[in-house]
Amino acid sequence: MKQKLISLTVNRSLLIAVFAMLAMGACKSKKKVVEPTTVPAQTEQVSPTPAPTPAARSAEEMAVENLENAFNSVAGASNVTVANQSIQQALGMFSNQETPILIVIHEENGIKDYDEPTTIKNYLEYLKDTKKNLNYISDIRMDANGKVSELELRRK
Amino acid sequence: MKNKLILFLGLFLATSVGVFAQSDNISPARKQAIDSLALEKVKDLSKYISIIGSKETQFSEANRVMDRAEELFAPGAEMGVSSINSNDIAYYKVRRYFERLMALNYDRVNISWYDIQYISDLERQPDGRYVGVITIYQRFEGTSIETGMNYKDTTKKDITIYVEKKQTQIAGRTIEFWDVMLGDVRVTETSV
Repeated sequence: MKQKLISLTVNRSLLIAVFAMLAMGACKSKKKVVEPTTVPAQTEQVSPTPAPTPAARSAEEMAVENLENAFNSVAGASNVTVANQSIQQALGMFSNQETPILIVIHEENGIKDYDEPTTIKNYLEYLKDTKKNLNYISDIRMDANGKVSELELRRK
Repeated sequence: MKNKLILFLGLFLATSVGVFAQSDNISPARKQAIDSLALEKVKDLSKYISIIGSKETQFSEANRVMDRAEELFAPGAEMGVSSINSNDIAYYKVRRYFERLMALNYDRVNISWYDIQYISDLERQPDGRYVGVITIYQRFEGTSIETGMNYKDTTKKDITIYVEKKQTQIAGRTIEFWDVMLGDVRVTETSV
């Protein structure tokens, strides 16, 4: 009887350990812009509330749209002066000129391969110099002032 | 009980080994992404060289682009320069090469690179770095309005590529990235 009880406890401990490991592997900290986020199902509703307005999400979506346009403007600028004007406008959307830009070149089994991280200032100048916009915005982070504080891009 | 514990430990070790082994084994798709990344850096260099050489580029812009172009290279890397008027090939440190390129005594300079491709695939070295060679063709055209001189040549150049996995801290997080560095650029052919 005592042996059975010990065996049951050990089994339960093993099960908990396995679940804990799985949970650790599934940890995520950033909000995806492109991929839809899963909303946990509501099990009980106290009173009918109006549909929540995802203000923060809308701000991110708007920022992504504006940034994509800005990147295209810089890459497609007819001359250096026009490109520099577009760069100045785009920089106004960021926390500062050193805002980090990560570029994912490949993702496999949840492991991301990055190009060398750069800053928004350098990235905008890169677009101006090479006249090519090879990446799209896959993730965005914004600060309390509504400015972009980090951007993740991916190859188109 | 003992058997279960051994089984559990075995499973744990197998998972851990699998995770660590991923950093050494590169799938074809991942390798292709790294190949493309390195090829893109060479294409970027061709744009930078064109901007630096162009007489329409402002001095401050050319200097800024020189900095960016220099960042693509490994320290001490050299660029080969040839001419159809001589059999000699001169090698300059990349910064010096860019400065000479900017100061060329022509009124109009046009430089374009084409047929940019691997002639030696990126191969993993014992030190963990990947090394390969990319070849390019460079079309150079310099025109002097006053003297009416018009110099043209086509040069085939081989660029050694080094790719290495590195780490950096971004907003408190460790980010692993592929660092592509260009090595020496060797002239292999020069023609009209």
